Amino acid sequence: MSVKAIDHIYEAIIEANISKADQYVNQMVLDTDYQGVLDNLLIPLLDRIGTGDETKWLNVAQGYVTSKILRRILSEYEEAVNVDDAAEHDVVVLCNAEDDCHPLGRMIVASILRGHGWGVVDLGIDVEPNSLLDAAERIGARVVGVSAMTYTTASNIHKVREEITSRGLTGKIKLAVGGVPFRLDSQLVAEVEADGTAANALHAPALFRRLWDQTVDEEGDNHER
Amino acid sequence: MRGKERVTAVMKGQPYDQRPFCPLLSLYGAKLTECSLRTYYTDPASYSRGQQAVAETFHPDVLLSPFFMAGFGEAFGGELRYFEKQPPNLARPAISSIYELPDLNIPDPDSHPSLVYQREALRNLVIQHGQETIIAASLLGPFDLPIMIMGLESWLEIVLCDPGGVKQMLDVTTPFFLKWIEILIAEGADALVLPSPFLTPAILTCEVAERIVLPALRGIYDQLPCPVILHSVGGPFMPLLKLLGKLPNIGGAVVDEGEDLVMVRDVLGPGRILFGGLDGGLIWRRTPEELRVATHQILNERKDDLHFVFTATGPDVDWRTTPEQLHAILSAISEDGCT
Repeated sequence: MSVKAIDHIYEAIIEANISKADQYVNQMVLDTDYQGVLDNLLIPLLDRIGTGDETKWLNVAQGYVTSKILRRILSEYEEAVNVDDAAEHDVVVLCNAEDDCHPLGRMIVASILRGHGWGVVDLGIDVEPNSLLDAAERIGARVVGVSAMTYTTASNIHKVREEITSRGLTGKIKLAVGGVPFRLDSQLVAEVEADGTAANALHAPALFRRLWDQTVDEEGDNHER
Repeated sequence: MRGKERVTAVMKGQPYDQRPFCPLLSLYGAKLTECSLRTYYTDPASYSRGQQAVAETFHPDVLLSPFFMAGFGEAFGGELRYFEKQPPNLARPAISSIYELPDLNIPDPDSHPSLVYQREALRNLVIQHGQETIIAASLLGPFDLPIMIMGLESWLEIVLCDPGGVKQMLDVTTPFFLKWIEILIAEGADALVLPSPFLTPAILTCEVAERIVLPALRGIYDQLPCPVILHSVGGPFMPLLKLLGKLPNIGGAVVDEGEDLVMVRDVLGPGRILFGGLDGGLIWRRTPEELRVATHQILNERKDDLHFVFTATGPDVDWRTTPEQLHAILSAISEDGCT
């Protein structure tokens, strides 16, 4: 995969031009095996997106095009090597907050996490805290991600924190949050007692990795004691 | 001056006694009257009582008919979800794919309960407050309405990938949009507000807007019988407003608190109305003193702008806001005085 092709795909993401992105991604899928795609396109492209000035405030269309590219590549990968993704990865649980019915941001985050090698269990919209924590405990997720579109539904995320506390899971399961209200109101993350948020969907993998590793570190500290 | 005279003076660039105040208090009327939101958003009389309370408590210069975007989704066949402290939301859109479009029922504005509710609520406002206050009505444009018909994800995918699908959808939403505008004007609306939940930089890139949206909208907006006010619904409107502002019949724009008002004024030009102010979603977090200071600061920055209206930006003023907080803004406007 040439550097120039990466430039074109990056440009297509910035413009949210899906047909332009498809043109180069399709060619790449035809020409290259998965390892080549991973080493020469996916990792450098995601690095560039994650650090680029243009993508600091990625909008929904750009995130959507990125997730579409990732889904396309991952579907090719699954067909080629027949891997059941969640079995081999660290698995996290995503959902929309209770009463929140806006799935798009969450779906983009799910695609982007999968593109970075995470297993994702996606519970969908309007999820009550006990359902979220039941799922997280069942699969051994150390991080749960909750998305909200409005101030009111974002404030419902505090119930997830209460559920984590009441189950004695503080420090064992971290709470990541995302959505427009968290960008507009800098106090909201602390108010719902979340463990972190990301500037946009592309920064979610770094956030989830950091939170995941914190739980591992904290578990190690507890064992040493 | 009465509110109507004040806003009319702003439109004409004539002197007025104090800056008009135009907070989005559509939802807040339910709080003041302790009305359940299921009743408030289905019963025009309840909505009228809520707005009567808004008028008596705050004397705003503009009153709005229901700011109820999901109501259009319901009218097209979607299902609503009601909440305790925020406007209803669309729980399930009418369709999920463009292939279902031929089977979509286009609602009849004369008989569909959701549209009849909106009309009656507007009519009541005009009758009860229209002499002294500007009555504004909101509606969704041809590119924004589809997210209430098929959901944001499906519509975004069509806009990004399927030019034929865009045309098919616009063939549905454009006639409805133009017809609904006629109806709102006939019911007595003084001003029309177009919230932009889709045409916003948080969703679209300028490249997509230039390539796909603007060519389609130019012809449609050319047919508008009167200018409309664009509304950002929260979050930045620039740089997309630079493009949308070039469409015909744009009378002004409501922009977010964080927006650079000098830049927005440049984009709108000298004669159109610029609505700016404090974020209605976050007023509740600030003390009355902070609100007074912030209001004075914005008014001072716009002191030479005859076409500026002070507003609470974003969607509805948050339920948690107290009347004291809104009164703090009102007093600052009053202290600021005349032009």
